[in-house]
Amino acid sequence: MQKKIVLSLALCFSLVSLMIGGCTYMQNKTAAAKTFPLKPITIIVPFSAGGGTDLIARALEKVAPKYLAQPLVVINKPGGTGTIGWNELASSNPDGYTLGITALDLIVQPLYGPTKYHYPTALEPLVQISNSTFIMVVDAKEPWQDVAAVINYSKEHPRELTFGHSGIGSTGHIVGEAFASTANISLRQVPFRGASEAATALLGKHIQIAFMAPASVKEHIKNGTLRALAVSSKQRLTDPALSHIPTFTEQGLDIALNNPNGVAAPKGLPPEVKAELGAAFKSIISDPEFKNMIEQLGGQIEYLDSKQSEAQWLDDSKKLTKIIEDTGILERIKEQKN
Amino acid sequence: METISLLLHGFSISILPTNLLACAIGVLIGTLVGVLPGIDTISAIALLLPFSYSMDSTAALIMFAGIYYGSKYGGSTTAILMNVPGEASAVITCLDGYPMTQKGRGGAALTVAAVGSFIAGTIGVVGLTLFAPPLAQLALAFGPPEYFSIALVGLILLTKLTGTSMLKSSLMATLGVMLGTIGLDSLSGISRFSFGIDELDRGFNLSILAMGLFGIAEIFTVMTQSTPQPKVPSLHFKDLYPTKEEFQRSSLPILRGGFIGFLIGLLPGSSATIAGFTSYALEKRCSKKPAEFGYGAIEGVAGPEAANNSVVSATMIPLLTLGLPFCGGTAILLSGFMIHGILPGPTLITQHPDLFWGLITSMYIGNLMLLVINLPLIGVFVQLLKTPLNILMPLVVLLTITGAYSINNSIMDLMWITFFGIIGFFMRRTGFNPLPLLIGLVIGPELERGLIQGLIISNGSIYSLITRPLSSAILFLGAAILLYNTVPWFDKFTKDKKKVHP
Amino acid sequence: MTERILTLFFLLVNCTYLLYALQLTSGNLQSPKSGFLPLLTAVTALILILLIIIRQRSLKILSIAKNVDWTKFLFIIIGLFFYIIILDVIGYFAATFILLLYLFKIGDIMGWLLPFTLTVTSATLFYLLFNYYLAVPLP
Repeated sequence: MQKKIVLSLALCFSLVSLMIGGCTYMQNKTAAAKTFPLKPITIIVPFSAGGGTDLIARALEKVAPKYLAQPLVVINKPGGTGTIGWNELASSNPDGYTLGITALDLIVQPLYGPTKYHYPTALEPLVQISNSTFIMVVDAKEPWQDVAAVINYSKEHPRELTFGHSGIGSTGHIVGEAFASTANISLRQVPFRGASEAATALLGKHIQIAFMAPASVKEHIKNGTLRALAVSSKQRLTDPALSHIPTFTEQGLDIALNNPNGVAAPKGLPPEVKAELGAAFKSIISDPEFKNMIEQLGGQIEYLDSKQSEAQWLDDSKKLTKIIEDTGILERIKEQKN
Repeated sequence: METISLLLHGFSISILPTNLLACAIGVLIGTLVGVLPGIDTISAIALLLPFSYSMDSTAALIMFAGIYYGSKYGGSTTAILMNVPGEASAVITCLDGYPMTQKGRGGAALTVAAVGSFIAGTIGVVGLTLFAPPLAQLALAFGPPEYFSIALVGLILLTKLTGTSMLKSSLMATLGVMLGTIGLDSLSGISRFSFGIDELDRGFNLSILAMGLFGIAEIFTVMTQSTPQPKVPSLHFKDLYPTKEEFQRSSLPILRGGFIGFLIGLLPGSSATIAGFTSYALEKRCSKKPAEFGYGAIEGVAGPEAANNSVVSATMIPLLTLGLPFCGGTAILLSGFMIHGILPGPTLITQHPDLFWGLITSMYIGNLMLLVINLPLIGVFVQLLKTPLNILMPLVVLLTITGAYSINNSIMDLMWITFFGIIGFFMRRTGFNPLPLLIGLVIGPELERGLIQGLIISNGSIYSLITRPLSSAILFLGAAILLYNTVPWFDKFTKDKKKVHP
Repeated sequence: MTERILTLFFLLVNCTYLLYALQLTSGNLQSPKSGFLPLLTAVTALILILLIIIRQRSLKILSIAKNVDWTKFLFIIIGLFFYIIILDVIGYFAATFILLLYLFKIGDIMGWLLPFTLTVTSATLFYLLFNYYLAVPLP
């Protein structure tokens, strides 16, 4: 009986080793040894797999081997509108082996109240990769053809229209409230647990308006199931499928909010490492394959280096503080915490 | 007929050697992921995303899909053999699968699970092929108020599943809902009940709870028995496979499970787990010997296993036709699509017909492959069972703990798993059934989400929430079933009291 | 007896939860806030626990201490906690090795050679499987 056990265990062992061997064979990548990256670099994506930030990270992961000696490994740490992932980033070793993807929420979250780390000061940006906007969409079956029509309808029927977003305090929420307050109308906001949930509800006509990232709605706009009324960036998008959408500013509303995504590291990175990473990322971002991938997702490459990113962060921080106060979002969040 | 020609076209694509190979690798990895507790489908696919860059898109997606549905096959293995669910949705299979193993019918349970998964998986893919666009529209018609009604009815009905005491089960369910609220709530943007501990911010993971309450608790039970365990009767070949009677008894549950799983998969959320629970409840209700459930009723394995496989096909519908991921698995699949430059949505069928049909037909092939792979493996697994318990149990402990660690790389999770193991151990012995706790944990967030969103949408009026056509239909159905069952319970409650206060 | 203790434990947990739930705003029906559901569930659970306690007083509780080797139970718990604590300190392989040996011994396996070989094989197997194949970073 003992023999049988040993035999079956050995069998398992060999089966498993075969599988492991097979897989390591698949994974074999020879890399020339350099001084800085000596082992794989982790990139933390503070949102769940499949989201816009995650896809940017995956695009980086794919193109990186051309420019970096070690692979980039993407890890998702979703939760808390990014705070869980950024907390982890801020508390990790500033040796250049742990990086993270940034989004506007990085600046927004600390404005709502004490977060574990004050991200704009605890993290330093290495590069900015892209600038994404928000598209205001409504179901194609609705009669409104432009923003003005929506505003008029809402003035006639106050508090009737609802808009969905991916969570109180999220960037989608901010854009929505900014819209409502600039246009002087009252909209009811419905929180969802993510952009795709909001999109589902919009398509099912449970909510009337939503402010979404291009990737989530591009196909539907092309197909005609959703109608895009405005984009929140300073200029129109360059993607041919989306360039017909006017901006808010063109339609008379002073809203210009973007969602910049970049790469950051915990503060205190040694300068050579920082320089090396900066250069590597710069090449990755200019790589045509990378550009293609990002543009397919409806994003726009907008490269900023470390110093410029930092300046942009401060700028955004000031702008957003004002917006959330004006629109009452800050109030609302404080209310939740009682 | 157009569909048939499209399917044939699809088959011609999925039969290509690269795609076949991708399918095979995918289902193999999926099975492994399913068998190992803790490693979940999402991480596995996420892990392999980088390796797929060099692959052709169709092959890559076929592989990912293979992992996705393959893991549903594997999850039942450890659930049946060791009472440790390899995958969160397999937790319900533990209930009757493990007792079957204890009676020496483990092989039969595994076979029924595999065959049932195959049949239901195929039913699911057929449904996907034929009804994708209309079902997608149906799925959209369900909004927050409907989710709330479904969650409420589901919670109440499913709580009546097991346990001797309705009161205790209800308490467990409520506690489960409460546990589900712990953590950072994205609806309101704040973290609740986390006392500032980062780890708690994440909330409780179903797998951790399931592994603790079922797996570790079972290990405690087995290892602390002071009377020596009777040896598991030596298994003959025919014991590996189900008897004719068992096959007969499982056939209807499999069909029902497949059907139910498909419907539930159209809803967002942890549909696989919910489908499993619902199928179990349905089978218990339809069975002629409901008392057997929980002690090794084969229907309790056949139904849920079938259900959680056809859920996969159903979840693919919103993904492929609308580009909307309804659950974690499809979200990572969406990533997979996007990395290869394809945005699924209404235009997917027309713009990438090769990919679409190739993927669907690969699912047929994949299901077949899984059946072929899993059946012989049953023999291997059952051999493993022959190891004496005092050797097997520590290994199971190790497996469970390592698996748990791999979910979040957190030591705290391991503390939780031990803690819940201890509680689970005591709970079993005192008539508190752990299952409603898990049900509450899964359904709670859905309930809350539906409630809050629904109330905002209807502007605070509960009345309009209840009177939406779909919503009211569901609530009415639920109330009817509930009333039908409450009356005898109420009788029993009062009778019991009378017995004691003569 | 154990049943009563368990119920009391649940009561304790529930009351703590209730306390914290009261601190969250519940909002009103028109705009329910984060405290809405927690409050609802905490109150429901409280009612249920009280009902259970009332019922327990009237019904006789069976002893559950049949067939349980409490010393083993305690030892296993200690072993697990020990494992969790030292996992980060001495690394996965070493800690697992110790735990397995410990558990095998608790399981009354005679001799040393068999447990030893089993431990080494299994620990290596698991380590390789999880660390390399599945790329799970083990301490």
